[in-house]
Amino acid sequence: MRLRDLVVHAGLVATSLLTLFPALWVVSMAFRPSQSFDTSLLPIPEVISLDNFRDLFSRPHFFRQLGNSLLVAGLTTAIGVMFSCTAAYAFSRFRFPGRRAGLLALLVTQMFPGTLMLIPLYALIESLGLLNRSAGLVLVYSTTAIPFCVWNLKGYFDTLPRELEESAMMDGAGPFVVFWRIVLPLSRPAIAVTALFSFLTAWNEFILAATFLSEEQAYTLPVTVQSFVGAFSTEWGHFAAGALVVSLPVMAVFFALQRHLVGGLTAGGVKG
Amino acid sequence: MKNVAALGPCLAVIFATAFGAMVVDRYASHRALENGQAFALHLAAYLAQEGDVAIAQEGDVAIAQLRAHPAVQSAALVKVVAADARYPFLRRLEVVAHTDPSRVGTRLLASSEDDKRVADLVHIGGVTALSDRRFQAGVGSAVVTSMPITRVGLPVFGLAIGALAALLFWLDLVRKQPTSRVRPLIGALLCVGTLFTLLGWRIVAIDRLEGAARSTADPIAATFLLAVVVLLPLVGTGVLGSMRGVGPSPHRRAYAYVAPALVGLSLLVVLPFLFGVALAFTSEVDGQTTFVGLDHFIHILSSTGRRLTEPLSFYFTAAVTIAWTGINVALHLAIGLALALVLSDPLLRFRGLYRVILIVPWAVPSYITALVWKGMFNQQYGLINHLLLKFGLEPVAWFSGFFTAFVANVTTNTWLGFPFMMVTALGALQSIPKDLYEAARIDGASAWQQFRHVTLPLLRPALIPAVLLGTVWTFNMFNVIYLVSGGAPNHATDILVTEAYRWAFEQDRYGYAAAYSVLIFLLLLVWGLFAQRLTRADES
Amino acid sequence: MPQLELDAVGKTYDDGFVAVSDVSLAVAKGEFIVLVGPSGCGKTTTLRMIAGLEDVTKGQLHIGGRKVNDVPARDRDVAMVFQSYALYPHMTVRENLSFGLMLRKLPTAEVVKRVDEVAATLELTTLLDRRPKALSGGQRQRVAMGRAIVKRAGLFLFDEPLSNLDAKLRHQMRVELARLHRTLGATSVYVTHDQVEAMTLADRMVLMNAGRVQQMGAPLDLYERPANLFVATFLGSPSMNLLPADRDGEDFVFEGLRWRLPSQTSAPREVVLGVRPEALRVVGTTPSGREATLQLPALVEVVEPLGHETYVHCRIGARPLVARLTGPVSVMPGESIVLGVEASAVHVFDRQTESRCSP
Repeated sequence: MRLRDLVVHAGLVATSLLTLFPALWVVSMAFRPSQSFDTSLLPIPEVISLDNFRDLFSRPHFFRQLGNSLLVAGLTTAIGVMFSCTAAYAFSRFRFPGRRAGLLALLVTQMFPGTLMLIPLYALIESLGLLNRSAGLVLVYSTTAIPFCVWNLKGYFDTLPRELEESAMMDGAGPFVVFWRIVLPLSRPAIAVTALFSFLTAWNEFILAATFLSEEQAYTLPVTVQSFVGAFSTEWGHFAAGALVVSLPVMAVFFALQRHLVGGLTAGGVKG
Repeated sequence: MKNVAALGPCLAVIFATAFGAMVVDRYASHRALENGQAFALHLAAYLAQEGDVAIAQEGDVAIAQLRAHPAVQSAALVKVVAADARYPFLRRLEVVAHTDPSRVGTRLLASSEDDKRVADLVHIGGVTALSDRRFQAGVGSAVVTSMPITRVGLPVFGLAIGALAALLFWLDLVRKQPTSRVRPLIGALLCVGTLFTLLGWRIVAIDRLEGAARSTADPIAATFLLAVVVLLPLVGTGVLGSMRGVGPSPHRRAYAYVAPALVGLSLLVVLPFLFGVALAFTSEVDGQTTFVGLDHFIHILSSTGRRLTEPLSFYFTAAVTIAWTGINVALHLAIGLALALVLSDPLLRFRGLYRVILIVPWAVPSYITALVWKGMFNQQYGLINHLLLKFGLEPVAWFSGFFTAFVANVTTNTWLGFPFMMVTALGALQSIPKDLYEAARIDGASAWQQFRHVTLPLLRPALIPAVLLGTVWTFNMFNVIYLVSGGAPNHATDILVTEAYRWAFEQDRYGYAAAYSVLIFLLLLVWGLFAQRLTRADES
Repeated sequence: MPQLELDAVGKTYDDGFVAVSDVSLAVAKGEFIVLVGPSGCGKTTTLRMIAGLEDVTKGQLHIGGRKVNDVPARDRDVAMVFQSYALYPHMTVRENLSFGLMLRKLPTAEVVKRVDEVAATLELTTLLDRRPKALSGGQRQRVAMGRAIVKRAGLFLFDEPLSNLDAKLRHQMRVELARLHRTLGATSVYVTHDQVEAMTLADRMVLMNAGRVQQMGAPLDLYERPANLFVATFLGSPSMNLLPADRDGEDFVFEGLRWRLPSQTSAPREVVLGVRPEALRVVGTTPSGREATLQLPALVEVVEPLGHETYVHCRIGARPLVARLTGPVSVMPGESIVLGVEASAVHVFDRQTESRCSP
């Protein structure tokens, strides 16, 4: 029994180290006063300096770009989740013509290759005059997030007992009140997880962002961070500092919500 | 019958407005072209004398001449430069000379109203257009005059009407018993809004992207037609569904709830998709778009000019893609499941800590992961070669051989993807009742038999959707391939999506890339249908 | 004017399944009606139609004299207690109780007054700030009741409200329900598959099967004069003994026996005789010549002593039969006995139509 425990822990520690090392390297590079790649075996900088962060924060428009990222990701989450909630509720509760087709269609949109969408989306956003505007990104991100959100939320709604809604109806609630006062409060874990995913997607996306945004003051952070990695030379220090700034807030939220993650993601799948 | 009769006026409104919109559009574009062309001619004559190089020096002279023209409010000489070497279709307009001297040397900002009009005229006047490669990095001119109508306004106007109608419609549907008087009006508004948007978008966006190619409108007409075919029935169902019956029909409410998401998806996902599909049947040479039918598809599928086993052939890339997807999903599943099984033991110490550490890769943005791993695999300074040296091994040039480059890609993607499977499996494991294991143990099942006959079958329903999604995501995993190996050596490790991306943005062959992408989509669709049949058989 | 009236009400689902084919029923103010029947008989669907949770596809539904076929649930002035209680898990007991009143925009003071009143009646006062998760089964049940009572609706609907409780608590709640009904005097429709609940609570009982009403009336009426074989076997435990027989003049012949029932001469040739287990008693070990009782020689198979009564399972030829005898009985398995029954306690049913022929 003890031997087995030892083996299990050894395996887990090894996996954890493999998992952590690339991440720790980024941390180490961020605090080294150099732009070259860290080649030491242990991710501990010889000299700790905040130069990279100072450089990063003093870049023109940096805080504007941070703001852009927050705005885009926040709005995307709000809009995407709002629309997904109503749609997922309908898909879960009502039997209407086109329901199955609609659900399938949502899955099919996940198969559209990004390369096929890039040019038309560029044209669409340009025609709306939304290039270099956060609104353009919000529009695209929030709609592309919808299919996943709808499926995830639908799975959760399916597990809520119907009697609660019927009971509220008997209590005099209209359909909207039922949805707002009963269904949504009960679905908080699933909504939190869904929101986290739309936020992550919007916060991390850079291909569309790099395509739509050509002016530095309109950049989102991923575009900035990515621009440190050039074809011929890479400012690894700046890149690492930027990567930290981008990743840390997300990781914080991620870990705060990780308990919900397990339940909120699979409720639908398990119950079928 | 009464309801069908209500469609009459509704249709009349739609057609009248559509006709009106077309007239306005004709007039607007005519005027804009006239204005633009007048100055274009003027300037072209000037340019012909002076040549490109002289322009920057002689800019002020040109401006002075332009200013003399009665219709000119302000004028600018604009240079078109590529904004980003990786995205050649992104171009930036720089002011070479301007009626306002302080503006010389600045960039045109789409956020400034004045600059937007200059930019508009640059496109519409035909002097230079975004996708017209002859002017890719040349010199253009632009003049701000009073324009009859901003053409951008048309789709925005349409969207506004549509949004308003949709909002009214939605509110009405959610709230009360149907008010049959208002319904057709709202429906009509919705149709009108949609039409305006489509019309406007067709005129503005596609013209711009494809250059002034109004005459060869095949792909455009095709998109338009497809869009109408898809969108109008949608709107129509909504309208009809809302008018049928008086009682509290659950269907009406269902449509109302789905509508916002559906409309958004139609406009921003389905419509661009259809446009992309239409693009696959066209080819653009010197800014001229022509309809080429199935040429691209034939070219790709017959692997013209290449042996089937050469890296750039479609079949080779497809095989690489399938291997890539298969290996990755299998690794994700195996690692994720194994970790989940170990971590689901409630007696395990530091369980919470392990779990937190092991989902780190999920929280890191994938492009950062990819770039870090690219650095780690670097031949000169990469950590991995450094390690190999420490152990007395030869350093490996990871990206100069197919196999090593592929391994580098797979390693990166495995690191990045196993936490999703792990979390999914953990969730599913929690829901398996403990007494099942007790029953199995009483029946004399070994640990492996318990896993094989209790755990796996009960995990299936939760894992199948996750595997399906994972497959689609991996199949289209652009970031890792593009950023880690970048297709090296010589496109061998490219998967279908990165290959399509190269055609579009490194070769500027949008049509060809679109055809490539359509094939990718079809492959996935076939696989999806197959998988769906599999799961359905599994359920029954 | 009846408080609730169903006029040939039916429900057919979209897929063509007929859940309720034709139910007509008038419920007077203050009456307690119990819908009873086996699962899938349409009783719950009927209740849900009354509540407004299910569309009525046929016939007319009136509540308080108003046609409500197309009136949404919330405007029907109806309160309902669900089988699963359906308490809102994210609200405290007080919030659960006041939710409906708040939605009706009652002044806060009035809401508080009513909630406190109901809480006092149901002994929930100390639990008002708890969430449903922190309540026992019986307490949840009372909150569910309270939520219905607090609305002061014109009509109460109960969907198997006691089926999630254990046997002891169920009995206790049944008595409490009866008491509540007496004090509130509310018109109630109660659905259950438990005949004991049905018999004890109902003013009138509606027995349903396969989407149709089989019989309707006072519980004892149904018990004593079942309209058909289904009603006869559904009510009573152990259920009624059935003996297929052929009529020969005034005589009924079965299993080599011949019973004389002079009052049943109008019965058809092929009948089923029904005898309740408690109508049987042991008259001896050999058939005697006495004419007053009808006699059944039987072979004892199993004896179940329950203390205050005994079930004796026996066999007449190939046919099983149960007798329910008062007190302990000195009969042994394998013994041959003679059971007797009064002619007036024999029910006669038409074997073809399964309906009752005895008056």
